[in-house]
Amino acid sequence: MEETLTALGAILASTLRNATPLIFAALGGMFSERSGVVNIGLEGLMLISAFAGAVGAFYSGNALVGLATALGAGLLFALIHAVMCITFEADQIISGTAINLLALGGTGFLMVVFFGSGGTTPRVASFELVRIPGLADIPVIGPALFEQSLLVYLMYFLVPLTFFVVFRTPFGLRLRASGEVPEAVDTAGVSVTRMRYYGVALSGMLAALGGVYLSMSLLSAFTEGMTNGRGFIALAALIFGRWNPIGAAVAALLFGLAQAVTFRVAQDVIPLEFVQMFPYILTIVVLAGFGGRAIAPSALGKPYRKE
Amino acid sequence: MRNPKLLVPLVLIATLIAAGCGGGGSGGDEGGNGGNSVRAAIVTDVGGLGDQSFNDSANAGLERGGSELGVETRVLESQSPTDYENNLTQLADNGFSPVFAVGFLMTDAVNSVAPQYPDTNFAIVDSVVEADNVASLTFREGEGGYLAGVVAGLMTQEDTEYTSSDEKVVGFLGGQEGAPPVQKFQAGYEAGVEAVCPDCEVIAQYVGSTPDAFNDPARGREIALQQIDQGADIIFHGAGASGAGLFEAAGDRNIFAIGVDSDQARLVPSAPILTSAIKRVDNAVFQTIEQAQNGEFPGGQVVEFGLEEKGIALAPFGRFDDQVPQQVKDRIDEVRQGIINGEVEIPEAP
Repeated sequence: MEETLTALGAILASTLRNATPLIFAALGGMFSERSGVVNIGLEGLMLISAFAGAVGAFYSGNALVGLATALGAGLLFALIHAVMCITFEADQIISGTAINLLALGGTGFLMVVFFGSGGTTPRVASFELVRIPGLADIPVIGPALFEQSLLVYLMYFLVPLTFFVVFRTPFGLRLRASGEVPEAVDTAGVSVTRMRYYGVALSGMLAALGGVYLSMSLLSAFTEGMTNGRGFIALAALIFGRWNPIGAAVAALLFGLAQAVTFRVAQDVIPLEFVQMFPYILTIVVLAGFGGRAIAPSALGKPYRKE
Repeated sequence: MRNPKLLVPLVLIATLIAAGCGGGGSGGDEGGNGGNSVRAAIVTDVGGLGDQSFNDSANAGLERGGSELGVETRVLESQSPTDYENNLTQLADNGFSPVFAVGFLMTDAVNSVAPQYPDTNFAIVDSVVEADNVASLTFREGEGGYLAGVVAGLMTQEDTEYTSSDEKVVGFLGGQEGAPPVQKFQAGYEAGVEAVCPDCEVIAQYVGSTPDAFNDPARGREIALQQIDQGADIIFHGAGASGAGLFEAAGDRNIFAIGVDSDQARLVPSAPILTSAIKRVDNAVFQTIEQAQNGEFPGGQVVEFGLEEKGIALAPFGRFDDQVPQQVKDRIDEVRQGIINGEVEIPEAP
């Protein structure tokens, strides 16, 4: 019995670690897509930020400096996407793909510039585990939930905050309206362009948190291509969660759980391929309309041109 | 510039240029002395230079060929699997021979390029291609895995700062499921543990089923943590760059890791890496260049490198030397000699 409980605690902790980068990126995707801009560049934004964070932490020896450089890089590249998609009305999928390609090639190139060769960076400063006294003593779930990196606590805080901002504030109303009926936002005297810039900028910084969690919390080094599709899985979580922050977080936790279980049991019981296709299968199921159709913001992907 | 139609291709072009620059096209150091006709080159797989693994090792062998034998050398890095054939063709067109294809991922590419250039010598590392102008350089990874398994099986029964005799559980972290060299490491490892600790449990897990699995340290760390939670106090990996995740987990939880391909304790000094199962790709590459220079290129042959040929080795214990009891060291030496004498049977598949 005790052994089972310990195992459950370990799986829960693993689920959270797997899900945290996905949740950050999915929250980011939500801000962007709710404002009407498709952001399939999440993968690239995470990768660039993971790299920028490692560089900042390496040269300063301080994880917070790394976090700042990562947020800066995420913001910068998200703004490139914003300029392309909002100001120049370029195809949002193409721009997002360009960000992904740029991230993969750019970080590989910059690895050589900063560290002399590709592969993996030297060890950098990272966020240590923080134990919350009292809460961490709760059996089973305590150590899993409350002995985590600072970034995980930030994630606990950001999920409800995002929900509140998007669904309970005037800013959130304008943001959502920009993605649904931009004409109405315009008529009300609010700039659609500005709302969409806000949405995409926020998506860059949230994706950056996901990247930083990978390179400076789970690990303390950057490896080329280390995001390995997590940005796309975050998009899947976003859709599966019906563009709702709570839903996206639950979806990400579900994907994280599937992965944790696969790593726990012998791999001839659950094939590796299963967990790799799991998020996408669920996404297709949801998009196909099972269990209530997932409906994207109606002006998603359409540039808005003021009449 | 209000015209979005112009901007998109511009950004795409910029992107492609950046993507092309990603670590590509480095190398090209000319070590030729003019009087020699051998021009040797390697094509890396997607791991590329800087992988602290077999690509770097192959490059070290090539560089040694350049400095010691005075051959002209060149390195082409592959950014994606579609580069393999192009890179091989480009080197063959430029008169390089032998051209080394580093890694089993390039098997298909060598199979299709080699017949088109019958006058060029090719060599493939870690795989077998049957053609008169191709030398297949393979390693008996099982021997390295077996030694690593003996170390793990013996040390998990000892009480040290990193291991405890309470639970006899050891781990194996593989990269891409089904990758032949990794499977041979795993098979040898499991047999080695079994030989010295029949009631030990080996937890073996893989990061993924595609080549990306060699590049996901976050997942590697997660698997290692789960194995540690199940009692593993020594974990051996054959997971390329994903192994960095194992090293972090081992450091956080105070257990031993065993590295692979090169002496990883020297590359990652901060991590508790007890030893490494080394694969001397550099020796294999150097030896083949030397043979080519002497007109003895082993085309059409499968050249095997094992403990005896100094193609496989166990790295020294380094800073953990005093944690390893003398009788364990003696036993390892005994097994090493046994393998060289052919007295130990090592399975090829797990």
